Amino acid sequence: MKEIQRFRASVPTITREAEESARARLLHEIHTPPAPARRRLPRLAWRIALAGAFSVVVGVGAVRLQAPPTTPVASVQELSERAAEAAEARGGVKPSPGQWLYVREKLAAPGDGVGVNLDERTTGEMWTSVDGKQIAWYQPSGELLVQGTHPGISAADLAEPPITPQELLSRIDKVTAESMARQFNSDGSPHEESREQRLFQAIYQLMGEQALSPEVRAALFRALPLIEGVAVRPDAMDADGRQGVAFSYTNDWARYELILSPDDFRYLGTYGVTVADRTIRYTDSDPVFLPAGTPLVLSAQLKAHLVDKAGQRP
Amino acid sequence: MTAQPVETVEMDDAELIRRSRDDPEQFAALFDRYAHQIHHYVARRLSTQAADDITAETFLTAFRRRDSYDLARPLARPWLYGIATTLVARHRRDEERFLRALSRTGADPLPEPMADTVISRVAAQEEERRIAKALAGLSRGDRDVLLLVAWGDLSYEEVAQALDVPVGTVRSRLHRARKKARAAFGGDPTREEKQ
Repeated sequence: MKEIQRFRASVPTITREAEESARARLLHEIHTPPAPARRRLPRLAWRIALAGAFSVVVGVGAVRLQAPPTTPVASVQELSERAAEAAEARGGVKPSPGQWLYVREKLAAPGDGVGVNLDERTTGEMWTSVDGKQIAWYQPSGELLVQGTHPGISAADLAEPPITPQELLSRIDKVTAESMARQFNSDGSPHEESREQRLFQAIYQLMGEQALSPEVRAALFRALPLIEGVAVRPDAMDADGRQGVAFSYTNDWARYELILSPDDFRYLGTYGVTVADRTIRYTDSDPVFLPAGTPLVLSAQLKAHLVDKAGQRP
Repeated sequence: MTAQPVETVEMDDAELIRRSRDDPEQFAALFDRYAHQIHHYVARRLSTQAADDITAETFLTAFRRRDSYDLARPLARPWLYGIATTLVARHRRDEERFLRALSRTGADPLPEPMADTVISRVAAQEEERRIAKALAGLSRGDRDVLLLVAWGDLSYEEVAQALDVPVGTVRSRLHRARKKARAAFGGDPTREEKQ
């Protein structure tokens, strides 16, 4: 039937980046003898690797790579403006001090070693204090673990007027630069990361984990086109199979996507995948080789709701 | 990161695979031949994001299974489409959810074709909804056969090879899929497709 032959025929062709990643994975398989035994990261370490900055475990080169444009800049502007307007129109409940934001997410399950297995899902729950300074979740033992959270900038800090895209970016920049200066990679090398990477990552995390007011959320959306290298991917999917449109940022190691609903631009989830080969060195276990194309994270936010105490479910 | 170019222009897929059993590097040429079309097929069924990963997985799987490839088949297309279809099957719940959502809202996030008038856009959206509904109503086996023919451009014999089922099964699934799709879509039942 001609109609079926037309259906979704305009799907974008494979990007050069994805093609090279896929080819790299094949070549790696071709060149490597059967895979060495890969140790599974303890669950908490994985969770910290996600809740904290992704690049905590990785040595990243100092060179800032210009992200290949996936769509013209005009589309980033358009998506940012539409998402901002939708956030403003949607409004939101004003949290009381001392409250926590409960978030339930569906996640691709950890794979063997670093990265995730796209064929399996797990559900995670976490609580973030509305001041943004603490994060909590239940351990397998049943105990609630509470700790300070990255990026170290809180929803409350962002909500101080003036709430403009430039102002928020400069606050985030200052805090993340300071916290980065105090970090070292697990192989002892100093932690270097481009300003654009830090900014995108902070916004990505804030949107998924914190109770942001509509003004702050809108300003963050408007800030995204101000970060050089941020692009738009029109055809993304979260961990719950929901199709979306995404802001993406690619550094020299990985691409991260902030996925929004194409209807009302609500936050849906995140996706991260490596775009280059990398060997990760740990101080206390064997180095791990990650080929390009290794998925790092895939999430879908199922529920976000204010509660009075960490550990409480709505 | 790119493999050294190997003189493969004259070699058919079977010869390439045969040589790759002793000289694995040769297998990369198969990727160059088919990655784009495999990606396109998977992206249409799921999304470009899923397709990025499934494309890689398809060739990895094919490489690992190259010893069992039937060298009597000069073209590896059906074999590769079959592997890709199995991988798509793991995402069948995502596919069904996507088709059902599309059938309700018609909100396909794909870029719109250029120079669309408002009227033809609305009509196109309506058509998309009906097609999505028609596809969602098919069983996975029927949908696989229909889309391998419609999008993969495989013959009955090639679909049989891809899915490892008898040709008769392919014929009956396709017949049922077309009948159901036409009924759901409301198209002209007397229109005959060439095969």
